[in-house]
Amino acid sequence: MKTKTGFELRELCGEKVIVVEGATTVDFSCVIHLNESAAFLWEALSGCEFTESDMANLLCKEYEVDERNAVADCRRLVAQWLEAGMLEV
Amino acid sequence: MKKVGEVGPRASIVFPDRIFFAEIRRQLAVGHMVTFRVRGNSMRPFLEGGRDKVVLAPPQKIRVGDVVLALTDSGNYFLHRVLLMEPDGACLLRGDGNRNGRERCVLGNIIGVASGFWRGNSFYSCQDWRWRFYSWLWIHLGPVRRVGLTFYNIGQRMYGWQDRKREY
Repeated sequence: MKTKTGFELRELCGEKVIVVEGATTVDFSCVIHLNESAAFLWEALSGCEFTESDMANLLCKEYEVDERNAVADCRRLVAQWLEAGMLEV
Repeated sequence: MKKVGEVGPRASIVFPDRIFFAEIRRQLAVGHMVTFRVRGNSMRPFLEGGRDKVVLAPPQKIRVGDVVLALTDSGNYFLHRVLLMEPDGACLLRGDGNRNGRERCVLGNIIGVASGFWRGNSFYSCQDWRWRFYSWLWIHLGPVRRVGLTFYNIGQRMYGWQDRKREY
């Protein structure tokens, strides 16, 4: 899977959010909030092909989390990102 | 090593107007079109807070009747209609749904001009003759507008759309 183009990570008021941007348009009517670790993953994986285990590996390297929890968290995160239409499969 | 945050939906965040509109201003200033959901009922009957979205374009030539996003002299941001343009460059704004309230702003503080509106999946362009006619009518109705608004608001209170807080 891959992050969809046009979903840009921004920082607003200290919060990491995804805003939908076209070449000349920005849509603030649907802003998706990411926590710090989700924003880290989004930034690291933007534009690349990746799997849930790639995400879990990245999480384990950067954060204090065991692999089992990281995989479970990434699975839930991917499900949410898919539901929000942020990923191309 | 950092600790991971909780995965899952959390309470929605509400950005202060100052921050939110500053970002919109920044996007419009670089020539982008910006869409956001309107809040409040001051542009009734056409726009309902929490339901409709506005598409703003960077300001070019402002005309009476345009719906604009402006930083008014009171220091607040409003998406209201231009009612009058004074020779000194000041603009008088009024929400379609406001019975009396008016705001003043200088031309330079008009951040964007509405180019259309989304209601659900339907787009209403400000170039459309029906919108132009509605705009003309709403400016020229005079006291009839206030009477119409009173009945509209009573109807809304009894059966209508409930405004929601703007949440993301």
